[in-house]
Amino acid sequence: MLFNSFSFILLFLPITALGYFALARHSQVLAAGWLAAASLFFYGWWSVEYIPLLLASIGFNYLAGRRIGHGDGPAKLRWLALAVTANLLLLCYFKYADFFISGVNAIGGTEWPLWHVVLPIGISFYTFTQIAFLVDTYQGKVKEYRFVHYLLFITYFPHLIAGPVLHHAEMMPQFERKESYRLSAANVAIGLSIFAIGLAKKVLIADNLSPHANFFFNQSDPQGLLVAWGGVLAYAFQLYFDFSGYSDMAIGISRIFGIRLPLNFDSPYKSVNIIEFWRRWHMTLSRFLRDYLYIPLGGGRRGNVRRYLNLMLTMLLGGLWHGAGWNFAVWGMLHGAYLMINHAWAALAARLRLPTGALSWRLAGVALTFAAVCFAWVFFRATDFSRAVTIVTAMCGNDGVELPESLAAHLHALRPVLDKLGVTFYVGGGTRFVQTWLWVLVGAAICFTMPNTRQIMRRYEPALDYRATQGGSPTLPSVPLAWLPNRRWAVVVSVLMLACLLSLGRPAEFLYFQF
Amino acid sequence: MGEDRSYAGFIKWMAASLLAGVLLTVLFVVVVDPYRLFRLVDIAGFNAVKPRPDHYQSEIKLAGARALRPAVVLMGNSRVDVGIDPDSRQLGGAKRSAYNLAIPGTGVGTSREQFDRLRAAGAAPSTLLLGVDFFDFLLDPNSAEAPAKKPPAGLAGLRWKVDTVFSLNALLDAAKTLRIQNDPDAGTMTGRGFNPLFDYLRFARQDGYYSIFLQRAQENARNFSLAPHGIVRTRSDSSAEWRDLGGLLDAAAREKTETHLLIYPYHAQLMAMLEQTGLWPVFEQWKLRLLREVARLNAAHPEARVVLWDFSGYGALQCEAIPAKGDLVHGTRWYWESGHFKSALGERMLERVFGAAGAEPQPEGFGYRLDAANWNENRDRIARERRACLAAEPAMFRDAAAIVAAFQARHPNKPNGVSADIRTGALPY
Repeated sequence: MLFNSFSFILLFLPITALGYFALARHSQVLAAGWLAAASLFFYGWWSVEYIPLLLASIGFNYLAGRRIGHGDGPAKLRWLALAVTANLLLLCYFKYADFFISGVNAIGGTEWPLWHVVLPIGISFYTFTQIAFLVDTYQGKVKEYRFVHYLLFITYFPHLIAGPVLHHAEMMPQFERKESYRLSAANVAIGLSIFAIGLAKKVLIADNLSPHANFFFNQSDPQGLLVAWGGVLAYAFQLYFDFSGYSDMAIGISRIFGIRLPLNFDSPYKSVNIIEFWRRWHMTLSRFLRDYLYIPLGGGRRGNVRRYLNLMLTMLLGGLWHGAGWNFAVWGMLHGAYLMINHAWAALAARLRLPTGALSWRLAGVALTFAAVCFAWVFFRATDFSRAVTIVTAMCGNDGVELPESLAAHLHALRPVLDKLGVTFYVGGGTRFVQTWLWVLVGAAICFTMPNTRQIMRRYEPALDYRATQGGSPTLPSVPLAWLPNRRWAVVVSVLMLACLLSLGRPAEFLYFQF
Repeated sequence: MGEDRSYAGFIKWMAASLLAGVLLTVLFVVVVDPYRLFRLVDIAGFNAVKPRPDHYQSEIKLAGARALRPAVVLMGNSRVDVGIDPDSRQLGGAKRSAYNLAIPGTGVGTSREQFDRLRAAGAAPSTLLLGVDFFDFLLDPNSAEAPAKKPPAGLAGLRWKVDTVFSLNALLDAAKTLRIQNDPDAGTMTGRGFNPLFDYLRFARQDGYYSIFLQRAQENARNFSLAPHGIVRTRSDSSAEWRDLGGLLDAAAREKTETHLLIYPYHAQLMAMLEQTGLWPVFEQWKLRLLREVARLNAAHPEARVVLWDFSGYGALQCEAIPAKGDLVHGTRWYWESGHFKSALGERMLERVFGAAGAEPQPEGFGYRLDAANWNENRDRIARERRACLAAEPAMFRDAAAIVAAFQARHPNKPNGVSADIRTGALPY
């Protein structure tokens, strides 16, 4: 079931919420059980056949967690190693079996048949969440072991399919708290408002960018600089609005139930450098990779060479987490390289005392970071490596600059100038070109000039780890919008909601469901 | 407490304004009625002219046909959608109510489904004109059969009814309805399901017919070069398309519906590209297979009335000159571009099929009533026409060859049959 569907908005969500708060009057355990059962129903709507796998994974990790938590000495470590290995093997089987076989076939010249394993939806997210739980348990951070709460922690439908990746320690106290089981007008008003903003990001922006990005990445003909940048920017904004929209919807839905989820996006495209970008993009995955991969690898504690190696390895594995393919590996390694360069540059800039805090430096930093991120997105999205190289080549201007011929008539005095600059014109595709760039401009305007959901809702603690100062100093001025529970905002949210409901005719899946 | 009240007030205001918005939207769409589904208000200058729907066209047209219960139904893809006007003198003159049920970008499967639904509603027509498109039948003979798509059932089958009343598309189409009442270049659909393609007039004025033909030719060069060269699967000696055609013809015969199968009058430029890309022999195999299908039907249903018309060729009409590059003054009479003919040519086709009195004299050979006995005669006709067309328009053949060669030079490693969606039913703009 999609968040952006009538069945979810008009049936599943109200029924689940009403049942939850009605049961909570009698028993918190019953209410938590109801929410877990509703979450399993939500998951089963996608794939009933993988519910046993999900339940087996939950049961195994719960028992392993108890063993780790109650064990001591080497047994504790053995249980941790066993459980983490089992989780990774499960993930590897479903996600990487065919990738591994085709790799062996390519290197060894063998012809092993592919297994064509179907990836159970959400497995990457619930496996990572449980690995974090196991490690936290080993480190003594887990205090609560009630099964119904653990079941709810993993299956909780707002985050089950595509995150945010949760920490046991940040959720369990909320499932314990009495206030979470009381229907609150504040939570409903705030939750619905955040949900409406997320839904608008998805159905009004991302879904309108999607046909243009898809058309560009699926076509095979060479393209000029403007067509290439138009297509790549359309994808960059589509991915941001799609995934951050999903995350906002998850946060909003959860808030209705009185549960706060952690923030997952904080205007990442406004980042002044790539280090900051990873603190603002898919923040809960970055947090996971930092806490459970980069730091255990040694982080930056063993010198610069080791730090760079750890960065590269973390980003490579982060790339491969998104999917079994060389494109994802290249994407991860590109970001690893970006981070290494960024760290080296930061050290040099500090030594030379460059004024990197000045507005002009920061603006240049935003532009450079955004361009670098867009280049990397090409490898993330392209159907194959050679196609990605073709696109990157076109983005660098190697295929020249082309405009649709239908625009030529509207250029008037500009036409001779463009001719002199070597701009050429191609037949057809004028509507596509114009619409792509119009939607890119809409996406860019919202991304770079509007406050994000966290900033709009800043007076009402929208997310779990909300801090007023989060996100560093503002890079660009944005429209001052602050949500208030008044009539004006009620009408604004209802208009937004109406526009979204009108656009739900053909609900499209979220991009991150494939990971 | 006061704070709680403000949140509760917020929720109430939000719910009330949302409900009001929903009701106003539905009321607006129902009154303006952009898809002719409600017919409560029909006022010239307000909502009499309707926009061409981009979504649910099949359901909307089917609802229109059900309401009108026409004697003649036109089916096919965009070529019929924009090419044959049911308000034709040939149909209106004979007092035969007609409806254009053609759906762009679809194959015979859609036509079969529509016929079944008309039949179920007790509205099976007495005459069916079915355009059959060679490109819909192309497939890789060794490919696996794709599972048949089931039409949405139950609540999902009613989804279009909700979306045509409450959706952004419906709201925008209702607004568009108000806007286009006096716009001669608007994309519209007539009350009988015909798409006059007025919006192409603007493109023709701005870009010229040369550009429109060129864009289509470039798409054809790509599609034909990548197209598979089979019309049946080796394993079954058939395909879903042939099964749908057989099923439709059988159903029409059972309903005693007179059926005219129309092989489209592709423009000479397109025909030349079929030759350049090695598809010509496949095109002839396909026609033979159509003849076989008609013979099978006649054997199974001796009372069936089915005629196969071959409108393909290089005759004077199909060989219409393409205006020169940069020429924004001269237009075409018969074709929008090489894949889509204008209703003027559609009118000639109807004259040929129905042979009404007072019809304009037809060029010799236009619309050949094809049967097994005159197969060779028809081939000779096309060869004769080709020689004359080549002599009259040598540049058209040269340009077609150059466009195909240019595509194949850019993609030297793409063999025929690699995953091209050859259906050219969609319009290029």
